Amino acid sequence: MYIKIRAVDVVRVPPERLGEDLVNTVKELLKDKLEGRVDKRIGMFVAVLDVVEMKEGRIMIGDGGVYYETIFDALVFRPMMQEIVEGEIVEIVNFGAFVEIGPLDGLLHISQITDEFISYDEKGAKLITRESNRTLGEKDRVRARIVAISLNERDPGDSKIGLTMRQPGLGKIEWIEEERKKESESEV
Amino acid sequence: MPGSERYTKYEKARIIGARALQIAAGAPVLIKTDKIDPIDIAIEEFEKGVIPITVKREK
Amino acid sequence: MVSEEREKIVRDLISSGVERAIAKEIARDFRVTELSVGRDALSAAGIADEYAEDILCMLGIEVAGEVKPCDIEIQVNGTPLPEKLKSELKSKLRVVRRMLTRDKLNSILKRVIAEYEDARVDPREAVGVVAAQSIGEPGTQMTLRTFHYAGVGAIYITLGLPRIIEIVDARKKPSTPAMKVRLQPEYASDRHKAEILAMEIEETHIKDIGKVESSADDMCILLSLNNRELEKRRITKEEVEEKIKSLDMPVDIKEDKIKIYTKNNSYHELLRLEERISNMLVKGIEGIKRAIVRKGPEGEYMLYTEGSALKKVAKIEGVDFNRTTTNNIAEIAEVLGIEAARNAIIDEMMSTLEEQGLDVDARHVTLIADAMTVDGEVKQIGRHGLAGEKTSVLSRAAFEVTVDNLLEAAIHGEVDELKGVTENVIVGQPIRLGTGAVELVAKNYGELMR
Repeated sequence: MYIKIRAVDVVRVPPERLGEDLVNTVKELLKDKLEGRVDKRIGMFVAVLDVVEMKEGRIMIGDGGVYYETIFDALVFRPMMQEIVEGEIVEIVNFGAFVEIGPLDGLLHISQITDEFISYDEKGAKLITRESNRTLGEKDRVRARIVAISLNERDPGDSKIGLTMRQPGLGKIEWIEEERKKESESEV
Repeated sequence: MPGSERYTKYEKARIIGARALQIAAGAPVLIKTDKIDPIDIAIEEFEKGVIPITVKREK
Repeated sequence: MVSEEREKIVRDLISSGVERAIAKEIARDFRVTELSVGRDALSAAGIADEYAEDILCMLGIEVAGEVKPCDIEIQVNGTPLPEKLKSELKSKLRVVRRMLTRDKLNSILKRVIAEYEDARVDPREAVGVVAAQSIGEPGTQMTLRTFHYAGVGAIYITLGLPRIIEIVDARKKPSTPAMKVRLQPEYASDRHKAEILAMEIEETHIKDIGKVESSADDMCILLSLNNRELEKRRITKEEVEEKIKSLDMPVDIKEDKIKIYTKNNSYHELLRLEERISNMLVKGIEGIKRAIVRKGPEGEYMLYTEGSALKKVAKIEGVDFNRTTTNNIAEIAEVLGIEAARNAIIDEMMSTLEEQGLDVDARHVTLIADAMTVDGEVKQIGRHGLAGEKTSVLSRAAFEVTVDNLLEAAIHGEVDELKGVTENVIVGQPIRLGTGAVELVAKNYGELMR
């Protein structure tokens, strides 16, 4: 999910930028430094929103830069275990489907889509269930639960989020609608 | 710092040194001058009291 | 005039530098209620010119353009100089007061303050290193490893490098202990009296005043006293006999000889007894091998002694204990306290250096003396004293037995604050001294932004 956090970081303002407006410069530097970065505890920085407070700048020996300890607000994407997410399928591969659930994609493994056996249609880029003949392709919206998180701080793109739909109330949005209709009919 | 606005020789050296490094690395110069050497510029800035650097002294 | 008022005038006059007797005189003859006294009136009253001015100034009668003593007082007191400098400056200014104008006074003060500020050590200066170098370099000019002796009369005192090492190592006892004993005025002016006192202090053994022989025939010690020596040292025969009797041995006293018998009739005992009697102290202070009367630098008679016993000398009548010193620093610390020991270290080092013709600023020596005595006891400089008590694990490990030090520190969970030089060099940081200790802060920015 997306969270707004207040964080503290030290920003180095390089000498050549000392003449500019300080707050804007620091904000820009923070954006350059943090946006897209992943931290295992915090999550992925999506945007630096506001600089709240800046402490006095320090100058170190042998470095012309000025270091500012800065308090700022930021928007982060933090996937959490058991979280229910909705997203669009962006790619179908022979072992499952990738779902865009924010700045990161989650992997829906072929074994985690339905209880049925699934075959892979390479030409149509689709996954087809054997018994009910339902299909899952790109641009389909799905609802899934996060069951595995492995964030990579060094290479954010290599982070892996595992999803499942083999639970009641999860699946492709159309399937869920069908289920619901069936249920209300049987109740009547 | 009550009663001692004067900088010690070490403080002066650090201020001018740090400022010269900044100027050498492209920081905007705060005075009009013909000088070229960043150290000379930093010294002139120091003498005119325009260097935006102070020291933090222990209480 | 009311006497109270008169008292005040006297006080004021004295404080502005007028001698007491003259001040009293002035106060008596002078009617302060009449303020229209001029310089002429004062000189007519027989008051010297230099005092007349002070009086006029006190009365508030201005002499145009002149600097008054009270001006000097006020101006100098307003400067940020230390008290000692202030009073020196005041007395010097008073001498040349006549030649001063206010502007001149101000520029003098400005110069003095500037010179003073200039002479001050900047904060974060590595004073310890500078002190070490300032003493170390002249130390190389002292004849290395050679023992220099220079003496007063027949007394020898270790000087030069060996003496410096002795002081810095805080030896319990110097290799040549010696005292300078000043005397009370009546003794100090009379050589004869001073010599009597010297005899009183110098240790006298039986062997110094007579011959000690052992006789194996009748198993006794024969003591024949030397009358001339006795007289010279002002010892009576009775005193010696008293001492011998205190041995609690069978004694046979004859006209010119004393026979002391052994109790057990053994040769062994006889030899021991001979030794014991020879070394019996009859008079003087134990440890003072020699006491010599000399004229001191102040022109008075004083005693130079070989050997030191400060505590005992203090009890001798005629000794001016306040001006009596020893070169045994440990003894001074014990008898007079740590502050006295600090001063003794400074004096001893300075005089040793000066004697070698080396000019070392007293402040370097003072710093060393301070470092040696801060803890309340005299500590040596070196691994068993100052250097060995460092709090930093890393610097101790860098010094000696690295592994043991680190292991011990790890067991106790010691923390290194990285405050010293060695630690920071090991870690690869700038050291916290000089420019390395300055923390720079960018101006104008910071605080709350929105």
